[in-house]
Amino acid sequence: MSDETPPPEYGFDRLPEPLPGRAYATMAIVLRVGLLLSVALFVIGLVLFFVERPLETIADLAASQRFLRFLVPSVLVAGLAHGDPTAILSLGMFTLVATPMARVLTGMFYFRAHHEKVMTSLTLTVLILLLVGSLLLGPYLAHL
Amino acid sequence: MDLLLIALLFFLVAIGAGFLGSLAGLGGGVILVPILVIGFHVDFVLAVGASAISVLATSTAAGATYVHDHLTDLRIGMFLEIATVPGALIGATITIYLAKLGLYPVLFVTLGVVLLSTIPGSFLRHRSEVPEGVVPDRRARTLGLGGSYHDRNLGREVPYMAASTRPALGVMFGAGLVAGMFGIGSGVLKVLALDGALRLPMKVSTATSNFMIGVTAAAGAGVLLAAGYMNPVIAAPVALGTTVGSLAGSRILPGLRNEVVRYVFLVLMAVLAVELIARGLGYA
Repeated sequence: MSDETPPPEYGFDRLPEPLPGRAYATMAIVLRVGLLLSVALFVIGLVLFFVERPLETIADLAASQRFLRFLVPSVLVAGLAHGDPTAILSLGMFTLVATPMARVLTGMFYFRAHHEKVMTSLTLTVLILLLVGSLLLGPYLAHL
Repeated sequence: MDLLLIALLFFLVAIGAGFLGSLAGLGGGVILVPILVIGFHVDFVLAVGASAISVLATSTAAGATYVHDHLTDLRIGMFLEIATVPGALIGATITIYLAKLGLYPVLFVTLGVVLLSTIPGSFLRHRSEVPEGVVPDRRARTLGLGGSYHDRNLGREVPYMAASTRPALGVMFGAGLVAGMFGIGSGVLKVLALDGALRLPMKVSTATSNFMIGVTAAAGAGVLLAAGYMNPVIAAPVALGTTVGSLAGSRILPGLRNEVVRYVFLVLMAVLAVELIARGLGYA
């Protein structure tokens, strides 16, 4: 608890020690970089997609499973190396989904540095749950 | 119809949803799924995936600003994510299961009921900016769930502590479940927990809710993405449009935030909800 004393009408006597300002700054940067990166990938991917396939219809899209293959990292890398717009769009989605995960990881780092064992454990649990959802639960549901 | 034209329509509709949702204080994600399903005949689960991606994008954009301004309570946000994330994982799983079983009417009716129940909940937030007489529970004291922020309007530092953490966790699990099932932010439920149970100041509550919406949406979106229920050609224009619309709503035209816009949005939501329920019950 910090030494800061709130006025009596608030109903409590002392405030918790705040996290360092750089924890907030780092998280804001993580979120902004992740968002900008994914937005850029979305824009580039969409432009390339419609330049390459101007006459594609919604039926063509529904009939194809072309995005599923990019769930395999080696296929995604190969697609990106060839400038495949569907690979670029998929990377944009992966980046956007990974951004809050990176934010949770950043939070865990600062809680650990601040010697807050319970908060570190809670944050680690959240991170594990997010990874389990994406890496185990999702693929399991795909094959039901 | 050409895919390019449809993508442009997705983008424009998402701008409108994000803009109106932002002005109404409910977020555009809440009406995206019914619009995509009813208006564009997009598969229900793909629409949920696109909505989750758009909620993720808008909450990341707003969340970065709130965190930068120190309005977000990082401890409270991360503490409550322990409830929202499992809820979202279970919610996304339920939706995928129901879709695989062909039980789309159940999904339609449930989303309709969720939307209708959101309407009275959106009127709950009428209390003072800073609650007084808050008694933090033992868990809040142990984990240090509180702090202070500088309120520019009040011109002073405002101290706060979280009150009842147990009911807040329960409500947050429900919020995560609904968010995972339908790719929405569940802001009304989160406000119920943060304002009602934890009794946080309004600004901290709003910022912390936004902070959690991103991780909750990522949990549901991660499952849907890995299960193959995401299509970037649908999700990307929707996410870009909603982000543009919500940023415009929150930054460019704050003067428009009034009750009329709010009622228009709520009426639109009610119409979509009734249409969903009617379709689910086989009347449309």
